[in-house]
Amino acid sequence: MNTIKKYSGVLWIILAFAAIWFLFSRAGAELSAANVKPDKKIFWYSILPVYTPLMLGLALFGYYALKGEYDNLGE
Amino acid sequence: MSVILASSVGTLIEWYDFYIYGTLAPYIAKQFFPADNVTASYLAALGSFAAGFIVRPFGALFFGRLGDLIGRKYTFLVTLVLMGLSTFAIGLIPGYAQIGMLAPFLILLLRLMQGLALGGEYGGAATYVAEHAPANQRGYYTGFIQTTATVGLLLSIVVIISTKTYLGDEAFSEWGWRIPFIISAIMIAISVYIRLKMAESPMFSKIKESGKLSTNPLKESFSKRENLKMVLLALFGAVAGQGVIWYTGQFYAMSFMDTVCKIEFNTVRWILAAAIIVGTPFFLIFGALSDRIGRKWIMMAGMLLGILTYRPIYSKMLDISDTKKTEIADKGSKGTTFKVDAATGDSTIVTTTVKAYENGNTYKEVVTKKVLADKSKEQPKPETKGTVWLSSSNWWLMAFLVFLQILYVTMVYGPIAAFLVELFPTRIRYTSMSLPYHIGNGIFGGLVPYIATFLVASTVTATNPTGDRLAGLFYPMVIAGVCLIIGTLFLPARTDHTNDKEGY
Repeated sequence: MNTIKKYSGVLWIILAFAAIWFLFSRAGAELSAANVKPDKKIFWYSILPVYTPLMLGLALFGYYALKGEYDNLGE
Repeated sequence: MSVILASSVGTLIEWYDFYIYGTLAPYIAKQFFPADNVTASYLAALGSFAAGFIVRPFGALFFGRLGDLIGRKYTFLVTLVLMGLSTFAIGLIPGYAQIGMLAPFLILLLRLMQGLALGGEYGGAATYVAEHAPANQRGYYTGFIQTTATVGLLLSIVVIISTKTYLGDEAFSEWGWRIPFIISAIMIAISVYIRLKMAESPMFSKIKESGKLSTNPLKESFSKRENLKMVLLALFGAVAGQGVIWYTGQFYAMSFMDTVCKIEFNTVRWILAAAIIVGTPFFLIFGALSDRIGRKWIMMAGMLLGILTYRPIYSKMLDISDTKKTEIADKGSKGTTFKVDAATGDSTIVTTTVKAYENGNTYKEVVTKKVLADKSKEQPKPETKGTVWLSSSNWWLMAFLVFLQILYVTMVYGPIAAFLVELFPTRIRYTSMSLPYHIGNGIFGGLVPYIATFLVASTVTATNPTGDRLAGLFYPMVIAGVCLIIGTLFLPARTDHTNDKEGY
């Protein structure tokens, strides 16, 4: 189980950065379009500053998992 | 039991205060957020609803630190007063028509204060009860605190429906929506009185007497790797998934019935109320069960059930309220009223069509068309409002589908207070458990209706004007899915063994 936990750390790091990339690319595409509606602007300007640090937190969780920090928590 | 009752009443009132804003979002939008377009003003209100959620983690940090430094009792007394004053003030703020842009600004500010107060409240109440509870019954005892969020929502629904029914639609829309905010002052006064009589938590008092209090709970909680890793585990392995299941089961279900199924306002709230009443005892049942078999697998099962069944449940909800069913021709009716404004010469034509369907539902469509006397001006587009009334059997079926979702809520939420309390030591417990709780619930969960509404709107095209009405479920299913995998792999099956460890 500890080996799976460890290697899954890579998955969480990749997932976190993929989520950040997805959010920024989607926001860029939608906000650069002509005649952007105000509700879209509100949405993206609130989502990006909130979810980016959370995804960095997920990456940090992945890093800790990779380092074996969660190996001895008990089954 | 008196400890549980005293802390639960205050927490329940705080949840009530917080949720009346969400439930009354369309009325607040109309009064405070200027817009020609109903959807835009609804989103603006929903945005400030989200602001109330986003600020919750900051309240968790601020009040959590206070709670670990000066004690649980005085901290959650302050959060209660702050919440009460903010809620009361929302009920008194004049609308946009009276004070212009100051009105939405003040509403947003008070909403942020509500969020801060709630951020400090829950961790205090859960910690306080857990620290009084016998070690082997922590899940059961904190289960009472877990009921408060749902019962607070129920109370908000009952107060809103009663006020609306008593005053009528027009008066409620004009000024009656303020009453649920204003009467909160009475409830808060009672709760403050009860809480003033409470004693400090025995575990906190013990470490205070022995001089083991943390001098800097924030630093100790988030800069020490051994604690930070547990905060991250709590968030990504449990609370984020619990948050989305909670808000999908209660708030998104309500928003979906309102805006997508277009079911009548009071009917939606009665359905939710019925589901909550039947579902609430399960918080205690799953809390108590978690004392016997551990917290982990109950929470994971709740997430798994949500992921597997949300789409079929919401698909059925759409089917029940569908207005494309076979119509009973001779049971329908149509009427038109015509009104001319003597001052401007503008006329308003209101066409009301009532249709009855074979599945027993009734649909009422009101089309309001304004014709300007000045023909050189651009004529406004007609406004259409559709409302569905469910047949008795469909009402019960809808209530059952919402109940299923509430049941998942009780599975993930019932054991989580005990789980979080057991994950962190007494000296930094209030701070450490409050932050992941409010990020998981306030941000991951609280934004479910906001993000789901946005996702559905993103699928709208010219050829498909309603869009994919189930697209909003994608968000909670993905978050719960990630959380389920992390929780299954990483969470220990039992956390109650920490009861006897030094410092716990």
